[in-house]
Amino acid sequence: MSAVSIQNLVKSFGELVAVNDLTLDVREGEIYALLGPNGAGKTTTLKMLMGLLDPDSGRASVFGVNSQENPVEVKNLVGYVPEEQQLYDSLTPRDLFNFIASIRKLPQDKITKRIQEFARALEYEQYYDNMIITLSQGNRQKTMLIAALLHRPKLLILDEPFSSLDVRSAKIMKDIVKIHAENGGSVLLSTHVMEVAEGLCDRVGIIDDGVLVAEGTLDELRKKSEKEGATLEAIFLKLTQQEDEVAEGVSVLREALAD
Amino acid sequence: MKLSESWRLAGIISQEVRFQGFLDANPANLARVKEDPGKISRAIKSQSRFSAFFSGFILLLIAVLALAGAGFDTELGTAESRLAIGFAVYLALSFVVIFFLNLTTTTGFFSSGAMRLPSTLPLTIDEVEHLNFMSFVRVFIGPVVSSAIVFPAGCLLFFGPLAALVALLACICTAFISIGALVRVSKWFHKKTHQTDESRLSSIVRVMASLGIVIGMISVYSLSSYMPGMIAFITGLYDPANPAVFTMLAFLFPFAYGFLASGSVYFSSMMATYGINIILASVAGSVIYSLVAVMAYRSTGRSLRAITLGGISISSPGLLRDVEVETASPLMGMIRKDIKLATRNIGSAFIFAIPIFLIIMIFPMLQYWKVDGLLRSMSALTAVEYANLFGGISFVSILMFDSQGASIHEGLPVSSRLVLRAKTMIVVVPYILSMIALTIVIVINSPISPLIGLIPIVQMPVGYVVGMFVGGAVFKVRGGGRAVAVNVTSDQAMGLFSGLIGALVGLIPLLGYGIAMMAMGSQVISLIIQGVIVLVLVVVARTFIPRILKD
Repeated sequence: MSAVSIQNLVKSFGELVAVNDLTLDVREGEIYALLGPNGAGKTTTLKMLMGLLDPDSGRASVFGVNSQENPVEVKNLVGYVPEEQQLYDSLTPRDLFNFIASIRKLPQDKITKRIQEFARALEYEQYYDNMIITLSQGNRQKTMLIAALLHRPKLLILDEPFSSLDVRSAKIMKDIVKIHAENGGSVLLSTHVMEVAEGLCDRVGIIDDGVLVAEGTLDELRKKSEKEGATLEAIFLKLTQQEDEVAEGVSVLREALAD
Repeated sequence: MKLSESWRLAGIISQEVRFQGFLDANPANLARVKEDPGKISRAIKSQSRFSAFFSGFILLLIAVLALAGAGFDTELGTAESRLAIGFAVYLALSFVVIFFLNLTTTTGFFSSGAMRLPSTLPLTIDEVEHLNFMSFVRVFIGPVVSSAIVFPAGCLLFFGPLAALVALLACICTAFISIGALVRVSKWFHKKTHQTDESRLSSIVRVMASLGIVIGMISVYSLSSYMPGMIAFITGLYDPANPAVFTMLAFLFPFAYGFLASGSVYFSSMMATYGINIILASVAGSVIYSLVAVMAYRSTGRSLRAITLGGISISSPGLLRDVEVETASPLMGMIRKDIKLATRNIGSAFIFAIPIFLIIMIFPMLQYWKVDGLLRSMSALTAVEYANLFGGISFVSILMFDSQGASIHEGLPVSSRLVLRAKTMIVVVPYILSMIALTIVIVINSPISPLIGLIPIVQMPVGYVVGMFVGGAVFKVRGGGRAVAVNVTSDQAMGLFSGLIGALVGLIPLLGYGIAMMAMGSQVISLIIQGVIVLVLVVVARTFIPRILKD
């Protein structure tokens, strides 16, 4: 069974077609990256998968559970880190994790041990009783990641997960994602950071204007883009037809900076 | 920096302070500002104008009432005591008005970080401090100027220039003392609400402070109705055989100024009636409190300097506590989270003050509704119906908590039914407290039968019904059946809608009581009918409302 199955998914906001007949699968134990420029439809896809948005047509499911019909069960299976960081600013991480563990009905002893391990690894203990509003962007991101991992989810869905982390924490979190997959868990993440997708993911799906432009391992994408030995960045720009735009933009900027 | 330039810059900073105060007043504002920044700017402007107008209006109102009582109410004591007490009561109430009506703005002053940008500009420390002080002045200038003009002008008109001079001094000193107290209390409150030591005492202090502040704010609105009574009560304390009571009063703030003003107008009769001691006490008291005002002014400056240099420290002292998780049932977890959010915010704490607000509002009404000095069923039913209306509004104010934490909620397996049950459980508490308070108020207001006091008690389970119906209706209308956050300050239509639903649902058992009373004239039967309808409504709410929700 696929960890994620998305079939012919369509979502429009007025005239704008954000996701256009998207079909993809994420296999069990796989780390899958969804790459795409801003406004490509990555976040909309993930939100439909989480049951937070209703698709116009098509179907999304997690381990066979339909996201639209049973979003609560989907959330039981998934650890989700959305792109935005709207936390409970006036709570402390202690309050927050008490809340999450209660809602997820997690056993107190096991979860305390688990969170102690996370806090130690991420140097998070000292922030445990500070109000979330006082935390730095990176520590807020750590809070979100710990919250998503707390219940040992079968699938992690991460929307731009490493954007605010320092080098140490980013490395630890990447390793956590890898260990999660090694233990049979699956990961679907969206990212702008090519190195993350290149170094971490088994397969990559490139999405542009709501359409899946290409999908496969890095080698498969190189073949498709006809760029032997190219970096993912170069492949991405080629497949999303942005090479010329980027070159033109850089040229204009060079002139502006030279003045 | 020129004065005009720093005044203009202070305007920008004070606008930021108001903005942060507005955000601080309710967590939901934080989400709202992203939805429509223009709307929030307009709301802050209109709120500031309304606040300035209202402060001015209340000060004018209590000034007129105090002057009328002091000058013309011949039924109250002697002319000297009337002036002294009326004068002092005005000062006490202006202190309360300045203090409470500006509390949220002042809290914003500490949390805004508005001075961070100016402190990075090429300005000297003195210039930054001056800018800071000017910003503070701009926030408070409205009520302070109103207080320093209106009352002294009235004194000049009715009692002459000497009394006006004392009034001017007293009003300015009161304003300084009030602002000093305000800065200290809001600094303390800000620190308390952002510190996270989890001792029970700390939580209790936080909740009590929130309640005290909210109740103080609400009480300001009904000051004028209590003022004549206060003047009458204090003037009635005078006993010619025991003048020490008034001598002691003359030494206390703000009575010292009142007796000084009275002495300046009626010196010879004051000497004859009360003796030299009262004059000396008032002079000594006035000097001391004027010095206190100067000290308050200086300490305000010091507090402001602290803000300039980095705000208030809210770090938790002491050892790090163990990293651990304390679980509860999902329902209790949700309630616990909401209560924590509510107790860390003045605006959100409002829901817990609703029973007190209800009583402050209902009490004078009940006096008016009495027939031949006796309270009838109709009055009790009307009072309970007001509580239903408030119950509906308080439910929607609980939904404001959920505009925080969207990122957490999106990933959690939280059903709409669980959200509705949790919010309903919370709203039941102020509803039941309202009913207990109404029972007490009814019983002490000479009911025509003691059984009337049972109407609110029988009505208690309706808190659950109101919560479920209002929540179901709001989720259906705003969320298409899914649990949603509602900001009652921006979505006033939903506030009114919730109040209406609460009033309508809560009215059904009361109608049952009323109709039974008219048909049979028996309070016992009417109460039984009311109780049966309440039980039916509870069953309906529990069975049918969850069915209209979806996830």
